[in-house]
Amino acid sequence: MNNSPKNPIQSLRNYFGRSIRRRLILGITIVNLFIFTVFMLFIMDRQQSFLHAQSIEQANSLAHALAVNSTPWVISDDIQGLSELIASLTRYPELRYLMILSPQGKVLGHTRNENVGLYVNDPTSQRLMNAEPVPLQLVINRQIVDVAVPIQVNNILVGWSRVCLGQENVRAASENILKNGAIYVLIAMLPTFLIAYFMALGIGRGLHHLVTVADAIRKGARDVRVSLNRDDEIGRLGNDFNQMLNSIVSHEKAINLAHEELEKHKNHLEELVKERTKELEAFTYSVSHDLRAPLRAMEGFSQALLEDYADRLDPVGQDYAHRIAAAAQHMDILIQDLLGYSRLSRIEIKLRPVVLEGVVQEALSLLTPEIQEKSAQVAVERPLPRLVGHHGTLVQVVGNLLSNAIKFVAPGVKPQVRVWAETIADCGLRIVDVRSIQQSTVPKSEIRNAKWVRLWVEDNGIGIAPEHHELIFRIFERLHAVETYPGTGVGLAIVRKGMERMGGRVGVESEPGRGSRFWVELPRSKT
Amino acid sequence: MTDRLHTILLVEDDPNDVLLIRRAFRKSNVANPIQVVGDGEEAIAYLSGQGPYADRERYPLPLLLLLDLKLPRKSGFEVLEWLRQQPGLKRLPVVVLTSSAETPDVNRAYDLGANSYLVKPVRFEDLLHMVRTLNLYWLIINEKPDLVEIELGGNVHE
Repeated sequence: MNNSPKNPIQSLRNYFGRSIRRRLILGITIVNLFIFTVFMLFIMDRQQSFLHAQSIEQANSLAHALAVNSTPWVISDDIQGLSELIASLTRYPELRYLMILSPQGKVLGHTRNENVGLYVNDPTSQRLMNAEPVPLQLVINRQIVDVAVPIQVNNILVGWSRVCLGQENVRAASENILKNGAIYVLIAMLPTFLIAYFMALGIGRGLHHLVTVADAIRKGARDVRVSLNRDDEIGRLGNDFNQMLNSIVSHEKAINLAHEELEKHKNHLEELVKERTKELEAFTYSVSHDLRAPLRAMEGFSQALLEDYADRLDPVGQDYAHRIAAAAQHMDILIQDLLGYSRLSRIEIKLRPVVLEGVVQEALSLLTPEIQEKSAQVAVERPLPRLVGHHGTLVQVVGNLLSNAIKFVAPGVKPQVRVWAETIADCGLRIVDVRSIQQSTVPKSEIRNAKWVRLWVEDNGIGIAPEHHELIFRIFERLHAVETYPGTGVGLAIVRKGMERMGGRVGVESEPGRGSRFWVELPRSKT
Repeated sequence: MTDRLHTILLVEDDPNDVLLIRRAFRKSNVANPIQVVGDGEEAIAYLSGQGPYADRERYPLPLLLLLDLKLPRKSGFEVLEWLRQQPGLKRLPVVVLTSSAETPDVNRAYDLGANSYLVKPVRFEDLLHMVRTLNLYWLIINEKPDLVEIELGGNVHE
């Protein structure tokens, strides 16, 4: 998996980093090696000290013996006798030299005969010349033990007996201990290593099993469980893991069940909606066919009455016939508006980029007769941006807003309408008709992140009191008598429904006598 | 046959509408004879010359069909569908004259082969205007196709 590491430390780190087992074995082994080594060194040190002390003891007793035995020869100044005495001791093990010195430092006897008669002049020996007549340890170190004992007769110093022993044996013994110790340590390491290995293997095997099971669970298996027959932490971990797994599985089952239930509900609701839509369509069909037939009869026959029987109807009778015809016509408009409104709820609205300029143009051309009749002035501030919506619905919306702007003016006032658009920052959540978003050809993310366009339609009309700003968007709500301002009260309801279907918003700013400013908002189109 | 004025077959179940349409034709001075049937089955019987309609002197084959869509027994759609499958009659110009302006109705009528789709206006004035235009276009300007009478046995003759 890794590329070959560049340095050995990196490769070691990789080797141990990938396995707890390896780290455990390494750790136990190192700790044991350390303990054994310290222990061995301690024993070696003790042994060495012991041997060293023993060697000093030997040198001291030898020096004493030499001092005592050599006293007569020193007094008699018998060099020959001393030489024989020393010669008898030369085979003492580890002996470097024996020496009998006069208090002035003259060599009276020596293991090497050529030194006899000379004076010692090395600093160590010089110390003896000025020393009190007590046993002295001249040199004590790892290589040699050099001691001196005074030779006295009646408390008068007559010479020094000096013994120097080598320490080779002590060193050899130490080295031996070291060598054997190392072997013992190594021998002891073997079972340590094995114990560490099997311990690690045990822990590792448990962990490995856990990891394998967890991996299988991650990949979707749900029938696997940890099977560790042990009471230690890993065993407990395994048990906990199994319990967790059981609870996950049961939760998953519950979730799946809930999901199925939800799906069922969803399907049921969809069925219901389909059914209702069908019913609504049947209802609409029936309204559009059946409800208008009697109106035609009312209108047609009242007209026939007026035309064919005019001579037999007095003016009141004629007025009644006219009223029947007018009522029938009004009801027809009501039905048509109602159908238009309900059609807006039923039709499929696919959102796509819309050229607002085209929408306004189309709406204006549809309103040409009304504009001319009222001598209205409509000023459109260009350019108008493109937005995301539905062309046909938007034409209806803008058309209704313009129609209202022209219609609701005080008597004798020439309507003046101003249309302009502004880009606004998105101001938070909007209630969006899910259907329109789902059927959008424009990506949802684009709609969500888009800036919004607000199209304003401003008039110099009679205005609307603030308490009526909400009311006017409801279907069949009217603020004025039909005689004053004809209409059915569906226009603004269509505006709101249309904007809702396109995922947009609608609003009004107005006060009585100050005109009205209606606005609609839709996302700006990038294309 | 060509000497006589073309017969119009009106398929309409509402007697008020029948009366008003007849009146509109009369007021528009359209002299073409109008035959009226009240439901879809009868329309099919008339067109295929079944029963009393076998008498083509009394019930001549029309050269224009004014068809309502909402009819008892068989709807206007069914009549239209049937008609367009009849080898001898499939060319007959059909003007749908109905109440519904709903897009699905309009589309379906055209899909099934309607030649024109008119919505019955509520104002009689508008109906009058419509009938005048209808007469001018479908009965005067428009070129009529040849229709072939079907024998009940399935044989076909001119």
